[in-house]
Amino acid sequence: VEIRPEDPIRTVSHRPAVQVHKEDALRSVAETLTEESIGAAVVKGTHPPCIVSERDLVEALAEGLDPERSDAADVMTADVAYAAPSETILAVGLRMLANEIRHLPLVEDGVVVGMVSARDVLSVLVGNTRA
Amino acid sequence: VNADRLDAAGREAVREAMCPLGPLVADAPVSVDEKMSLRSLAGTLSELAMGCALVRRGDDWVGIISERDVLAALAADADPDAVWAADVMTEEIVTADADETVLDAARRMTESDVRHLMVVDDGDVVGMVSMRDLFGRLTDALSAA
Repeated sequence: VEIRPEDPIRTVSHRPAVQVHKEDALRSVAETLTEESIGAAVVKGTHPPCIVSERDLVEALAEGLDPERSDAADVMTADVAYAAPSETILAVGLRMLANEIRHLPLVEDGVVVGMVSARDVLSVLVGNTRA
Repeated sequence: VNADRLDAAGREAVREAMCPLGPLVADAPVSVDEKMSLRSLAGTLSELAMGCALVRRGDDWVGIISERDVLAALAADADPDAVWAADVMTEEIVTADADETVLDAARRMTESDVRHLMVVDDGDVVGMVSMRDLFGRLTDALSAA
């Protein structure tokens, strides 16, 4: 069955979300993101959830931070937009665009249950995704 | 974007989503020299809020380098001040023709698992389109429908 933009976002999300620890060095965060082929991870123990993205790491490098000495807590983004698993794929895509972000955690009952990327949403919009 | 599902109200929006890619290309591509360090590259990408750059050797484009390539190099223990763009770039550049539709280009992007396409018009490189550019156009079309 082709997944459609009006279907719930949970049908295309990555569950569970990849997590890193606040004290993980930037190099270790880069390893995690690369290994998992994902652009952002949730930082464990943060409420509301903070995330660390590829963009955060690139900006940290640009600012001259040392990838061994700086950690996830130094570069993570707080106040991120998030979504409920039951919202539509299209609604979540619009929220990503409005906030100029590529990743968004799915939160249910205050707990992060997944992560969704712009690529996941775009695949659905172009009709490339099947359940 | 499934045109069969849309009523008359959505037709104009979908026609726009099907429009050629060319007009979405705003600027000449960002390019960096193959000998730029990863840290300088990170600076360039951050400053311009770009996710990737084309890599230049003299007058030639020899590859493309993205945020993801920078991270993969870091993960592989690269020293950001002693590893160069040429060491970590991707040599194969996925291209799109300025005449092709936004939808076709977005499909190629998701199939090739890349976030940027180099746009070529009559053999000349005119710029890049990003996933965000195409995503925005498709999402606008769908929400208007």
